[in-house]
Amino acid sequence: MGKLDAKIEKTTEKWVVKMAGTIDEDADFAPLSLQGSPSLEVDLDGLKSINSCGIREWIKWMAGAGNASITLIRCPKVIVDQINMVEGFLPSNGRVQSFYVPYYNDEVGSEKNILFKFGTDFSDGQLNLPAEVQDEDGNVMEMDVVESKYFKFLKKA
Amino acid sequence: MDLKEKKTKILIIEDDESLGAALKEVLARDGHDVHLATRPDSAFKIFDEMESVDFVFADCLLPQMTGIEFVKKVHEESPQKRFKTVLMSGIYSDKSFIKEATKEVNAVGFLVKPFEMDAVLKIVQKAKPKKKEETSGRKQLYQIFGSPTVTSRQKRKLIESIEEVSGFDLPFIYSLLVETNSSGYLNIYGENGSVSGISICNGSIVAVDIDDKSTFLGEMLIQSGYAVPEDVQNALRDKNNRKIGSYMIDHNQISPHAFDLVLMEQMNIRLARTIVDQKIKVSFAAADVEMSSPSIDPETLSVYLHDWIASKVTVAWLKTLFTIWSGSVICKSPTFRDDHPALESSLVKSLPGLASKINNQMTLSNFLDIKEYNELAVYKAIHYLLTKGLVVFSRKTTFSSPQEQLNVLKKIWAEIQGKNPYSVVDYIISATGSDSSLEALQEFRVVIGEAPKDMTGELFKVWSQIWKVAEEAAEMSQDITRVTQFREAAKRSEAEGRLRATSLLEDAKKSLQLNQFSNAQKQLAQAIQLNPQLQQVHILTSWARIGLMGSTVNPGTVKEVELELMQVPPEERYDSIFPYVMGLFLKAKGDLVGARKSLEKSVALDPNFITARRELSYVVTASKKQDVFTMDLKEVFVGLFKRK
Repeated sequence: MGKLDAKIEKTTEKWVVKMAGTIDEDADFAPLSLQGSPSLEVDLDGLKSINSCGIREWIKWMAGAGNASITLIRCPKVIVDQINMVEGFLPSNGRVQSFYVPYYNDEVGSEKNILFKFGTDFSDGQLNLPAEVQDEDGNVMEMDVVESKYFKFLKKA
Repeated sequence: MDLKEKKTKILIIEDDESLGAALKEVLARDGHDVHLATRPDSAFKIFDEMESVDFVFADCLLPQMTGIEFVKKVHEESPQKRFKTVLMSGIYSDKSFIKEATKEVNAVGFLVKPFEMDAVLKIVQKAKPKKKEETSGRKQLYQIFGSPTVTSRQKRKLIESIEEVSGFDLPFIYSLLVETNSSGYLNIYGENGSVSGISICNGSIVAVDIDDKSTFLGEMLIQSGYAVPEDVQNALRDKNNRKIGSYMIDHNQISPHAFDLVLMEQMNIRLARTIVDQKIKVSFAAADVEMSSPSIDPETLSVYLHDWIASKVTVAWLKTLFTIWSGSVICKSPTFRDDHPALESSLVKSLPGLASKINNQMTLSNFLDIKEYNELAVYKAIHYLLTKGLVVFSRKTTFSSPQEQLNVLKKIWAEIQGKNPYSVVDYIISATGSDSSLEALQEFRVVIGEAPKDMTGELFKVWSQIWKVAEEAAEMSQDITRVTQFREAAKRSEAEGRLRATSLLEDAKKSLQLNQFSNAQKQLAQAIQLNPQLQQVHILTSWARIGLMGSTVNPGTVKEVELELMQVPPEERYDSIFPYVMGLFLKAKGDLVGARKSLEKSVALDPNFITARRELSYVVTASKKQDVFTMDLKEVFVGLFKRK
């Protein structure tokens, strides 16, 4: 099974957790206890996958933050999918600060993830899609997700 | 308007009732799906209920709030619903207001009252998105094996494009991922909030994670014959609380290989438990997953798929699924080959000559019309071959002849006749894989084909009946309050039915113990009507049928019992009743050695099962009486060389 590479940095204002790799049954959340966290920021940039055991572990881990505000940044598609489909994956005191939207060009097969940021690309209930996304060679790319499903979570953001 | 094209969905909010009604009529006549509200509060409700919205026509001056405020609010609350706005006003008609309001909500048009209806249609026509020809995601999913190569992205996109699937779609999804050598995680989200998951490595299933962790391990070890009950009991009592497998391997009571086989069977049971008659959501993410042992490779999965389709997937569900391919020819996929092992499976072999009849000319309806073919076996065998990717349905959905159309329509009519409107809507939604009743109605129109030109014949009569029922049902389904009331009533009635079915099952068990097989069969038939998913119903029905056979063994009845036994799901094979009934069946077929083995397993699993003990005693005595000259060679060898 894949490994979860996670680090926690604590300051008096907020705790920052950086996660990369895979969240599965082997993921050890014990060193990442959130008890006493003033506020939490979770950077998910390097996260590759999460399986069903990982989803259950994540929900338990998030509950440890209690009422502290939770901000998820640089959420990859695998995390956005879970936020959309699993009740409680993003707790009620949590919000998404930024997330990736996959783009694709059918003809040349190029792929690219565009980071959507709160305040510019989306805000509470608003979505501002870029007029055009191009790959490195200037080919126009189209969004590689089903829009009506992928952006459902924005109501919670 | 081409019926294959999706209707444009329009919401009008206009407090002038006569103008609103006129606008609605003009747009509806032009083929659009139009909803009208006279107040913002009712407009919000309708907006929320619409799966998608293409246009909002908003009057600027409304009670409660302005049209501009309304549009901004729905944009805020439902950002995923992207629609175009057309503003209307008779009072605010100065250019600066129009310019500012148009800019504020990014409107595609501003209609100053009174306006010509032609102008309305032009705005819609001009601003309507140019849609690509679409086929429902679910339909595409089942046709994916028709492509010579399937990329990970195609699979993911197809799985993603379906809002919800049925638990009965899972065998196909498992097969798709395994047959195309996928690696990654398939997560399955239940209606009750549960999350299950399957890990796949290069086309082999390496882990199955479900909420219900009950193992059956002890029973499986005994049933498989790899371990004796005493050893299993000792392992279970092991005070060190070590895993049962490690304990038994350490004590040389089972080989590691045999234990792996049992663990695979356990994975089979867990996978089987995901295949339920419920709506679920799934997501697949490609990932590097490590290979581990034991794992389910494509060859083993093929056996399990057959088992799940035979035992878990109901024929009622298959009938609905296949409605979308009414009139479509069943074609060989690029991977079809005449010597494929799937063609040797029990389901396929129960239909003599099926493989040779798949000649790219026959429709499902043609197969169902073959007299010697059992309907249940046809649906299940074709679904098995479809799931294995050996056959696909042609994309062409026109009927080859009026007779073919009539045959299909008669089957559809049999499914919807006498049903209440809401069940009809559920049927057409499930059958077409659409997200809403109005979308489903359009897709359904494609399924039933064009209205026959001859308005005097039977074909026209059946077609009209079906279309009338479907249209009325779709119209009535727009009344959300009544739909909710109906669904609640249906749930209550279903729950009552389930209770009654359970009670009938208990009565049937008593009848079987008293050898009242005819009674038991009637009780079980009633029970299965009330709850087709009732546990043990197939094994008990087999018991009753074998009991009714008596000493006269009729090949037709044997075939029926075999089909019934095939429908016993994997998780129901590890109690004492399954080996008992198998013992009865083998005894009825004259295989006393096999019967004895099965009955011994039954007694080992439940030493207090008196009926099984009695039957075992009878079989042992009968075996002794059997003269070596009447035995077949295998039995003689077994008799002479078996371990004492």
